[in-house]
Amino acid sequence: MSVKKVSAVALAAAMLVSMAACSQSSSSTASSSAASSSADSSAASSETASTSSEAASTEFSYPMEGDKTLTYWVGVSVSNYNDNNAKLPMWQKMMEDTGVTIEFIHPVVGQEQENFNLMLASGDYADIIESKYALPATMLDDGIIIDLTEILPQYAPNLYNYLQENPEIDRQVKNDDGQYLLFPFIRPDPLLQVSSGPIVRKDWLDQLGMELPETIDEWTAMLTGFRDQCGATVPLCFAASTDLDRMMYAWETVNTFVNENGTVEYGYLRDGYKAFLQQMNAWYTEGLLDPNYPSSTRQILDTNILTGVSGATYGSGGSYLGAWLTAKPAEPASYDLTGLKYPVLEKGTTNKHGNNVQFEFSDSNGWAMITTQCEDVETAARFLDYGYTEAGHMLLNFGIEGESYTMVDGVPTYTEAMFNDPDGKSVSDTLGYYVRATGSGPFVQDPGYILQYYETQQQKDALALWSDQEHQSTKMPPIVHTTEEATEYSSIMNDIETYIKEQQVQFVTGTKSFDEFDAFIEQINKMNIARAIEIKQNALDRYNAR
Amino acid sequence: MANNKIKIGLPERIFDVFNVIFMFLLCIIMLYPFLYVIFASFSEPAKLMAHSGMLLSPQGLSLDAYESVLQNPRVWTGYKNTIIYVLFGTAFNIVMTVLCAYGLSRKGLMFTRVITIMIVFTMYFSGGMIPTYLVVRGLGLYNSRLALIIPGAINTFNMIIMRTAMAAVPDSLEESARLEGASHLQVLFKIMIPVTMPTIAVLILYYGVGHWNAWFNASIYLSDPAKQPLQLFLRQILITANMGDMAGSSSEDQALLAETIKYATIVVATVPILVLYPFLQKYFVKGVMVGSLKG
Repeated sequence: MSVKKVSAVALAAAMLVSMAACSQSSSSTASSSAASSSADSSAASSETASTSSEAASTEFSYPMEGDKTLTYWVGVSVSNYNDNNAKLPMWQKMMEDTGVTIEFIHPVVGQEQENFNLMLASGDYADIIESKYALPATMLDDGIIIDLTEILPQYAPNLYNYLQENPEIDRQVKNDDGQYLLFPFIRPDPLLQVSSGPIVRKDWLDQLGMELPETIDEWTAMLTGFRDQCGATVPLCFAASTDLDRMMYAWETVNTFVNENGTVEYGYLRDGYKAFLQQMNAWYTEGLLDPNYPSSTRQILDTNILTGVSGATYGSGGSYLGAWLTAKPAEPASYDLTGLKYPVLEKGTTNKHGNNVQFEFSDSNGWAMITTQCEDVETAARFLDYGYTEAGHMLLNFGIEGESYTMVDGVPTYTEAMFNDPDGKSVSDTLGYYVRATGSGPFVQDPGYILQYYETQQQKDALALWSDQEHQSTKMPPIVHTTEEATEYSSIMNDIETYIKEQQVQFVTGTKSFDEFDAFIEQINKMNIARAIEIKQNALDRYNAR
Repeated sequence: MANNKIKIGLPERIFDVFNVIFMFLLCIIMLYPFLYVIFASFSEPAKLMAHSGMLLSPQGLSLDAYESVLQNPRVWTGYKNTIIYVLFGTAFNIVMTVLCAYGLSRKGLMFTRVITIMIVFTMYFSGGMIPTYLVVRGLGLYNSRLALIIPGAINTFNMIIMRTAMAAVPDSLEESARLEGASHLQVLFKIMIPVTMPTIAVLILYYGVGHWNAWFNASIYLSDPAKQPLQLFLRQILITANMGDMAGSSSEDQALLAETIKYATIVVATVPILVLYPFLQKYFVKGVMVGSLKG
């Protein structure tokens, strides 16, 4: 054990050095959290290594013998250039390594739900389905997929052992009856669990002589400075009105349900919500918040951020921060952006309500299931389990050694060709030929991917700042509703959410006075929020009992 | 001519002025979206992103988006497929429509009324997507190019136009041919088709443009991208460009270029048929008349 720890620390140190080498301006928070994450990942990978050696002792080894063919229903990768996954080097390698030939069935991009429904209607399923278009529990009840509880220990030892060693992830993957229904997509590292957060103009902060603001009061000072000294006419702007809700986290509440030590609460009924509305109203009145925020769009935000109309917003590291840094205007030459930690009320505390943070198990996409029409369940399970082996982990995250990555000081590093495609393809497209890490799928994602994928230092720093929160402590875990629960829940919540959305705009813009706030809360109670909370509570109790 | 000049009163002149201004505004409103797409497709991605308001000229000049689109093999397979569907699909449509219309336009056909009612019924009611899909699949057309050609072989509305045109041909023409001993096939090919050629030309256009713009049937019947038409790929480009915004994990240069690539693809996919329009417009005008006056 101690040997493992030492090696992890050594690896972490190596990573730290290489990080520091590629950038001198790396902030201390960024490098320290990167170091801790690489320690996690190296620990995780040594675990994977040990499990694969156990698998070897059961006398099974890849590639499998015989002429095995499976059909696989999955969205096409690099869809703008490629029409069949079988043409991609990554899948070819995976077929070669496992000894299984895969015939892909690809839904049409943008018509996935229709294509999926039609496949079910035709009664002719692929052997493996990778789809988020129906709930696994429903598909099991409908006899479309098989229960994997018995299969995993037998034919998917790598995944099974990984789950046994990580009981928290195991709890997320299982259903309430303790069954395994799918091969999950797992993001084991905090850096992979958050992809967006506050973004502000760094050069303006420098001009104002301010440090990165951490509290709401500092935010007010920053926005006022942007307005008075930097010429921002709309200091705080969002791409969509729902992004305003991210500010709620500072008041320890969220725009959905909260898991307060096992008790479910509704975010809008928590104490902080009124204070949040009052602060937003104050910003709105003082001209700090975009007066058109309820109807704002991505295009307006792009223009505002790039032309100095706005200085603070919320967005993701890739298509927002990265895109703006690439498109940054010639004037002023100092133009620069930075990520910010999620704000809090009291200095020195850490945000606990980052609701945009994901859990390790992605319950929204990327999982694979074996259907009842699969004649060779063992082959299918073994093929999918390959993604969780050491070799599969490297292949799905980094691709083929010598082509898409090389080992530099023991760290897999993408080759230069991935970043400078002669045909002008984007990084996510060139990488898409070799890895699945840019998207999702049945494997364990590696944080080494995102740190290389984000090309600029600002993005890497932003990721470290955004992930610096006690995430997961209050977020609702991936609970599952029964069909009856889901119907009742959505009929209650549709009305409540519409009502709140309407009212929130009125409070923020001041059309409604805060004298009416109590009546507003009472109305939510009248709309039977108690039943919705009860449904969530039951599901959470079942989850915790898994 | 000059001495026959009709005096135009003042109110009429005022009306004309406003009419012309109004029509101009209407033209601009119709034209601007096209111009916007064309300007945007030639713009530099970064400048386009920072631009706000009306787009009256390309922002910078860049052919990167076109280079990227034209180098893309999927654009060319799409083009090839679309041309196949337009050529063969339209030809098949016309043959089937003409045959059906000829039969129904003949006097003395048994159960004409019942057949017509059954055919018109399909204009208002359809079996729904899934049953239709199951039928196509059951016929073994799934993932076959024929799935885009056979199921929609006859458009009811077009068939009725054709039947009306044929019914309007004077009976004496057919009678004289029959007296000479012509068979139905001879009557059809030697008399009816030459006489109704303008209508057929209009139908060729209706069907052809329909095939060019079609994407939905391809999206459910063709899972093999190598057989999918260009419009389906265009749609994909438009959708993935929007998804990139939301997914939050697409890379920066993609987010930038995606916007102009989107517009360049629209131009590439639309211009060929757009260029044809002015030349074929006279038939369209004729087509409208066929529908309204004689139908």
